Amino acid sequence: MTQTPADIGLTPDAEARLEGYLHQVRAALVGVPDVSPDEIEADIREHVENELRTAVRPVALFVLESVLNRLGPPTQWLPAGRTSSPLAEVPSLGRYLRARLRGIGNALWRGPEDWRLPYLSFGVFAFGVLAFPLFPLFLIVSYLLARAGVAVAKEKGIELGVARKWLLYPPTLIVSLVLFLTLVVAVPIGMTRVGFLVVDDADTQERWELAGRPRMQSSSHFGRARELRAKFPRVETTLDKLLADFPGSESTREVTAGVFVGVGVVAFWWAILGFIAGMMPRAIRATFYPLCQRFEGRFAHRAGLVCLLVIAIWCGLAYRIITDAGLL
Amino acid sequence: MDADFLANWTTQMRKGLLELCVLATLKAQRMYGYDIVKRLSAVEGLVMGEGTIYPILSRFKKEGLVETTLAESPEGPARKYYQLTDRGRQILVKMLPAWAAVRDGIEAVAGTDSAWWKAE
Repeated sequence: MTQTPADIGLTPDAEARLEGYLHQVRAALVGVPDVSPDEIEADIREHVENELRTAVRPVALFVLESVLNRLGPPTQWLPAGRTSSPLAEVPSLGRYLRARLRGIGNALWRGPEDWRLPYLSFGVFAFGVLAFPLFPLFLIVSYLLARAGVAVAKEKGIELGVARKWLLYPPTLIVSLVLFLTLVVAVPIGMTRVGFLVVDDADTQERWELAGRPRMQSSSHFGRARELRAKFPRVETTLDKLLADFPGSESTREVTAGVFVGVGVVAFWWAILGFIAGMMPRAIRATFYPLCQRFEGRFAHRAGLVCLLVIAIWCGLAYRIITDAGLL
Repeated sequence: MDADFLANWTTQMRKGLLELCVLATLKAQRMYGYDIVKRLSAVEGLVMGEGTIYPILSRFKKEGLVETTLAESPEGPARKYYQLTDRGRQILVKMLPAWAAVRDGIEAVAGTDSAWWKAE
């Protein structure tokens, strides 16, 4: 619906003339509560576009001028009974602000859905920022309102302008980003962390049994593991055998092994995500709106294939480490 | 002075009548905003500037006399169609006889004989 002059295909001077005309229209309608300047501006753009449909591109200024002449001067666009532009009356700052507030109030409670939802969404978001401990709750409500606003605009064929994007995008961007980072980064990190804990627990248990089940002074898990290593340095567990194949000193081997395991987990998880996302590109674009609007299934398939290649190499290295440790 | 008076009077008269004409244009069917403008502009002496119709439509929409629907267009973006609401239809039903009464009254006072003012 709302098109920029560039979409109409005007020459630069014709573009400037149309923008000037629309500015005059807006100025003439300031403080007129019974019309919507946004709607009228969109109507004029549409009217001009219709008038120039068959004109040679780019449309020259004199061609546009004839269309604007037929539209008439914006100053005559006042409701019946008004004899002059409200601008001519030079409204005071208070009157102007009251008019703007009334406009916002109208948009919120009586205005068209495609503006009411953006205002509501941003209002809830802003309130959530002020009431910080409750921010996640307000963020979710604001996000749902914003998505509804985007959907309404899409249904009505309305292209979101910059103003509405500023109102709708903050909650959608934050939620999409959090969701994206959780799925792509936090889940594999969490899986790796859980894996480390399980392995460490099993290693401590094995070390304790190989040491002859000694009586331990420390009550905590990490304390016992440290105590066992200090008292029984010659005990060699399965983990020690596996770590022995990693390069570096004894202290850096655990880090190297951790990175190795982390790479494997990330590759495994991203391969799964890649193939799921590759099968459902529309769901991905909808879920991470507006971050991934150019996402296509083939991108995810490629990422999944690269991850499979990494997993293959990783499995080869892991096999070598296991065989070197004499576990196979 | 007379020219200013006449211009102002003509402007005000047309504005009021144009509102009636906009509603009357929609009495039978929904219409694309641009087509409403073109149809009324074709009536000689009625529309001063094509742009004057858009604020009227916007105001009618806010007042609940008309409503809009978007419909896909093969020629470009979705088009906004205007149609009368029940309230708009009820008001139009009252406006048309009111206008007829005014027109008849004026004709009764000023007469329908154009020979007089043509002679003047």
